[in-house]
Amino acid sequence: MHSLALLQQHFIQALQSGDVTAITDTIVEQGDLTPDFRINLYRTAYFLRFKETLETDHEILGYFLGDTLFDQMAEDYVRAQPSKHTSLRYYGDALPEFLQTTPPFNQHPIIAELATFERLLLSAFDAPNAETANLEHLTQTPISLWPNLKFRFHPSVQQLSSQWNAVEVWQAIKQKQTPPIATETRQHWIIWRNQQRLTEFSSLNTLQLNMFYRFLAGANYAEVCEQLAEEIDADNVSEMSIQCIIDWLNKGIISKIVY
Amino acid sequence: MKNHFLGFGLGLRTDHYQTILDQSPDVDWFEIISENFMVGGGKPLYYLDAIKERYPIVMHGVSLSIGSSDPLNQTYLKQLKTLINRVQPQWVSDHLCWTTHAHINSHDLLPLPYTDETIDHVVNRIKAVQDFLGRQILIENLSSYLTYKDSVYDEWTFLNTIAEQADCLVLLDINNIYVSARNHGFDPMDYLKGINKNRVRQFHLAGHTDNGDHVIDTHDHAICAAVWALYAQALQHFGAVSTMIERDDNIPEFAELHNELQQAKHIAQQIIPQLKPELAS
Repeated sequence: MHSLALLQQHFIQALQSGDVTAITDTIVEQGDLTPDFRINLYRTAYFLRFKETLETDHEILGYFLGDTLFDQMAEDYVRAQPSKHTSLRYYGDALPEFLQTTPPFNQHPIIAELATFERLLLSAFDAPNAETANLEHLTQTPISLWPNLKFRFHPSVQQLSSQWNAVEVWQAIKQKQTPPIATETRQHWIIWRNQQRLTEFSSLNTLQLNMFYRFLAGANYAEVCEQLAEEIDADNVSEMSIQCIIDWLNKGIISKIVY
Repeated sequence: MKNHFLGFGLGLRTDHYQTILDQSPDVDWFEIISENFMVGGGKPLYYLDAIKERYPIVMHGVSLSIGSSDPLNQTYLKQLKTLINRVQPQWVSDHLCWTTHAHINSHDLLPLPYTDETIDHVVNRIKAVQDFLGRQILIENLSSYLTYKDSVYDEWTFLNTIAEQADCLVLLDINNIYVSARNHGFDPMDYLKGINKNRVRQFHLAGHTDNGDHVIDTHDHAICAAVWALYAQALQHFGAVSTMIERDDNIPEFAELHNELQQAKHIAQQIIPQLKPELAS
């Protein structure tokens, strides 16, 4: 007689590590199927379920790697990464880190960046809902209050800074075009879910990135402009900053304007 | 105990969201996989909110892990309760199985040993869940591929005893009974006869993959003739029970599933007039 906990420990061990000896001893011989065959039905399903989850969440990464490398990635990841969440939605959350640190994938950093980008798209897809502010909210605010304005971003907003042209590669494969050659280039992206509940992304230049993080940290418009003045000609600060804010408002990236 | 016959339902799957909103098909209710809607927002909850305005919803979970030796997952239970409050479902179900050990999720519905120790353990946990949720839950029979040497009861005695002692309801999966009967060599009618009629609130129907010497519960095929025949026998035995078709892979056009649901309805309409009136709602 095995305790329930011990039996479950042996079962999970069989699924995760492939060591079926202990659990096989607890299974009845029935008909033509051996206990080993029966436990292996569960082992096969265990692996396939996780592999299918990774395929669904990382469709473009799959095309980029090709079947053989993707299968190897899935097998190694499933062995290394038991699921700690009740929803499969989060199973691949550790995939980017796995790809950054595990050979042969870590020899091509663009692979981990593609995975990161796809995880951020997923995060934007089902992030909490929130109202979005629009241009009218801004224009209705008296100019005298503008220095105090703070901008709250929509909960779906994600930001990626990549060392490679991962997003351009992703986009080309998505559009069934030949992807550009992997190239080392610093790029910044913002990802969000629009009002039609579709995920979108667009690039940010360094100045826009700095503005984004300063507003995110709670700085007001005057403080952001002061810092911008140290980075560009002071005469251009107003126009550049307002254009950027209007662009974000039109995209639905800003949830709330407060002062 | 009232039967609460809700009619004939389908699983709510992402492929069909827009069709359901555009066409308002003649389906009595939809069943959701609870975990798919335990998210912050976006499309899943948008469609759920829109569809629940038009159809009754029942919630079906896969991660309660009622038979696990781990403590009950309080975070999961809170998420479940939050979703229940949002959806206001007709009922809530999960499986008589375990999915998690030492906080590792198998994401599979794994079989339990049919022992007194397991019965006591599961009964206490179902009671705790029902107390927390403030409502009865339904537990569903699995399809399984192995039997433990430690088991001292047949599966239907195990299920029925737990339902009685925990005072919960039963979701009887007709396809799972067929699959397990083939894999373990029991008579599916023994299973049906072993379950208290008053506890059965819902039937599941589904397709499977027949490999000759064993059957896998894949939910990726149409329902086969043998399962339709067992469904007819279940209706004769239990009377009118709310029936739902599960399809989780190789998902066809909505119209194809709708036709399959009409077949379930047709079989039930042939049989239910013969039954005692108090069994039908």
